[in-house]
Amino acid sequence: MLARLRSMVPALLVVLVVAAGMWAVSFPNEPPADFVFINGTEPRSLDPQRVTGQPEGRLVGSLFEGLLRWDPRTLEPRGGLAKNWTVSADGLIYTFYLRPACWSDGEPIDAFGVIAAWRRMLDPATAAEYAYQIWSVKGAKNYSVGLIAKGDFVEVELDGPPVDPQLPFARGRVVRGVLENIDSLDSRDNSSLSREPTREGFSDQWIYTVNGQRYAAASHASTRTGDAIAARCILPDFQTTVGLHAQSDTLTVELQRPTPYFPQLLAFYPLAPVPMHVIDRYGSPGWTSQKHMVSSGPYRLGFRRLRDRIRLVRNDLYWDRESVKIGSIDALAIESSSTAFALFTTGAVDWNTSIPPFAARTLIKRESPELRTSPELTIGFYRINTTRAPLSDKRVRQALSLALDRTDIVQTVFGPGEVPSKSFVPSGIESFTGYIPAATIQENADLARQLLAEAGFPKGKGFPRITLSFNADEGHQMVAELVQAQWKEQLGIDFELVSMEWGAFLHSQSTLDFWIARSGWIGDYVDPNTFLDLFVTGGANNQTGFSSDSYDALIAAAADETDRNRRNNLFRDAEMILMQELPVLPLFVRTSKNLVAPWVRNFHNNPLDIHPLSALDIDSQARDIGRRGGR
Amino acid sequence: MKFIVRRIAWLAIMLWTVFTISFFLMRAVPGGPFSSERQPPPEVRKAIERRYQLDAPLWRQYFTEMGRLSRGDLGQSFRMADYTVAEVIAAGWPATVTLGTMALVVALVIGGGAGVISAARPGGVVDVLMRSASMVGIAVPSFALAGLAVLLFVYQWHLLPAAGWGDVAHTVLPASCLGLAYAAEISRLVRSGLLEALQSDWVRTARSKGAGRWRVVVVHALRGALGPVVSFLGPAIAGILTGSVVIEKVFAIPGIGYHFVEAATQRDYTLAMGLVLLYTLLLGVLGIVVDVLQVILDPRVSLER
Repeated sequence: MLARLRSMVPALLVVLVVAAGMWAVSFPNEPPADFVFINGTEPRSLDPQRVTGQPEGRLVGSLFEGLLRWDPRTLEPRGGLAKNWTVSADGLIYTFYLRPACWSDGEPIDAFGVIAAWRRMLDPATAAEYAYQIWSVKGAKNYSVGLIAKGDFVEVELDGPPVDPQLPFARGRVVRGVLENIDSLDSRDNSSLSREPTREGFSDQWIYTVNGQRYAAASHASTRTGDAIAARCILPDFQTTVGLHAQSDTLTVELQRPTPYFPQLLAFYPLAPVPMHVIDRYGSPGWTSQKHMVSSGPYRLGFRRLRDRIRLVRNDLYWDRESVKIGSIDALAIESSSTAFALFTTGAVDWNTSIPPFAARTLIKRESPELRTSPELTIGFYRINTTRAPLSDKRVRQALSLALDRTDIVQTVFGPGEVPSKSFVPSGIESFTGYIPAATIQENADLARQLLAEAGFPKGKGFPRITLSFNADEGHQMVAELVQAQWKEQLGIDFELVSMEWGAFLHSQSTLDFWIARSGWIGDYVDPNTFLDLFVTGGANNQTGFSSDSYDALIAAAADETDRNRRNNLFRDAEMILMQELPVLPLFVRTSKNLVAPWVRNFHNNPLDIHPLSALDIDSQARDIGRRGGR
Repeated sequence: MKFIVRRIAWLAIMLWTVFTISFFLMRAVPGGPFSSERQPPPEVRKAIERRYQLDAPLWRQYFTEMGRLSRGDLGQSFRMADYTVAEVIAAGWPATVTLGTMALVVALVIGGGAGVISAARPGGVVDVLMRSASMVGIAVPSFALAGLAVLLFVYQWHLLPAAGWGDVAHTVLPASCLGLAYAAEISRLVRSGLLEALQSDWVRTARSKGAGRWRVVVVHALRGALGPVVSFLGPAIAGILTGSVVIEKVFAIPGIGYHFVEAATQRDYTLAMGLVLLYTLLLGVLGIVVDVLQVILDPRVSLER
């Protein structure tokens, strides 16, 4: 038996190799897409409420229509699902009039659906990272954080089967009423009275009494809960506490405070309504699968191949289908910028969103027509840890800023055309908002040396050896080396450069475990607030330890101000403080760089680097010639 | 039989050890699956951590995860939230197997061919050239080879696509870069095996019966020289499997190797864990299969001591 097997082995081996080879080269045959672009990293999800990144935004923004949408040229919010809208004089009440529109499965979209989708976004169980984008709506923050106290009108989501068996993933049955009491789980424990919760989230430590009925957390299956009914969650009552009201095709939104950029938030993809009829049926993330996904935007999902491509196909039920030119689009998930560059140069893709720095410098010098650059609403800066001496001394921070030659840095690292920044808010914001950034940063090495001497470090003597950290990247490294050299030459201070892996780098910033660290901020919307509210005391993105009462007061005052000029002035005063105190060293305004094939039409540069796919068009004849020849 | 049972038991212990070490190593590295340059408000952050049970004490997370994994549930990917780890593996598996198979074919065909040609005239110009080439092939790492190959075949001669996945043309460069090192090894094995076989009695018999030189080499001697090649296949497959991690990243091939690299850098705890265990399992099973095969192939080898 074994001997016969042995004699057959060579023949078996040959057959196996041939068969494996044949199998290996059999690929499914799919027609290529009309337009192919590099989308960067594989998207985290296609659920608009669960993503935050740019690669996700390009896809989600094409699959889902917001109430409003950006004009690709001017970035002005235009009608989307809403055909028009009005604002009350005090800037607090927005009324949206919805146009007749439907999901790609034919289900109509109405104002109730919009509210249901936003409720899902605010539900703590959804854990939407961008939930705070609608916290400007009255009551929204409270609902999303889930704080409740005795006497509040609340809603109890019961544990158990959903109301409609057709929708197994819908919310549980909801009971509404007044929260009468919060007791300790253990009835004998009288000490609970002294530490009754003032205002906190639903927890399994307590028993809640609503309308005379006792409720306890479902996760806490215990005999100690007695007659209490199992509840999944108790939240402030959505209908009565959150400022959203619907009437078939009219949606009224009541804001907490005037928010001049509210229409812009509505054009931003996280607030695009999601199809609750599909989500309740297939659950999350089940609804995002190729089989079940239903969309409302100019495109629908063709297919998804992990870390390969996502195919978008024109949505024939989209309300504005006539204006969508390109029939099918492939978004390639390619992380490496040199691979992306190779694909673009060989004509395999039509739009490349990530360019390696070495290639960018050459392309800029050659003035390549395919390279589209535009100053972005993005600031590249260094964070200073103001909680550590000697950086806690304002004079030291000012000296560090004064000693820099920003023009030299950007010219050397990025080549011509890049803009050094003398303010924290990028200068490009002026034409959109009328806000003139406080460009008060000076560069003066003599003054720098003088301030450093006053702080006790004449010619850098006695200055401790501290670090300048950045995440591993060719460009960041070059900037850091130049900064290091300038500080050494002008101030006599020797910084140690530390290149860090991305995750570790982020961790060091959020825990304030750094001295000086490279950073960047992309504006979420076109308004100075997106840059300046970062540095309020205790802000999640402050990460410098900076705290100033007058700064906090100015940002808070601006939030309540409806007059545009007065509001801009408040922001300007705040930015002046920031540029005096310098917890951050602004370096340059980042420039968006896109490589766009010559046959692509309607590609408009804009400061948010947003290019809705539905606006693009291609000259297919020129493309076929170009693709064959390569470049 | 007893041997196989014992090996499987060892494999189970190995899986548990790998799981424990990876679990604590992953958590010890700073940063988490939800670190981002834009920090959400602390309340939102808390909601996210609660949803993924990252707020529980480490020991509880450890036992929860061990319980889940022992039921065969690899969990939901953190970074690709729309997919379970099992779905990611199912989606990536075909590409990795295709690439590995192609690489193995490249290794066998080129390596075997080169070995035969070398052995036909030992010490000749062709032999010396082939042997030097194989030396270089073994020494140069595959990613360096990949860079060079892209420069020549993509940029210089516009012959092959730079990266991506979808048709046969996409497999040529990565499979060659991955397979060539093994082709070099195989050519050396075939050459030395052949030279040894050519000295043997049965070959002398074949020669004396008047068989031509090529016929002697290919039909009579090669069969005897295959033994070492077959036993080298085990390590070669293991090497190709792990080597494809690098090659898949370079050529943007959506296989499990690429997922593995990204899972590590993106702190996708569940996906990284699933893939680490998958690799452990594969290499373990491969080892057992090779040992069993050797018994079948070579009468001199026995499993029971």
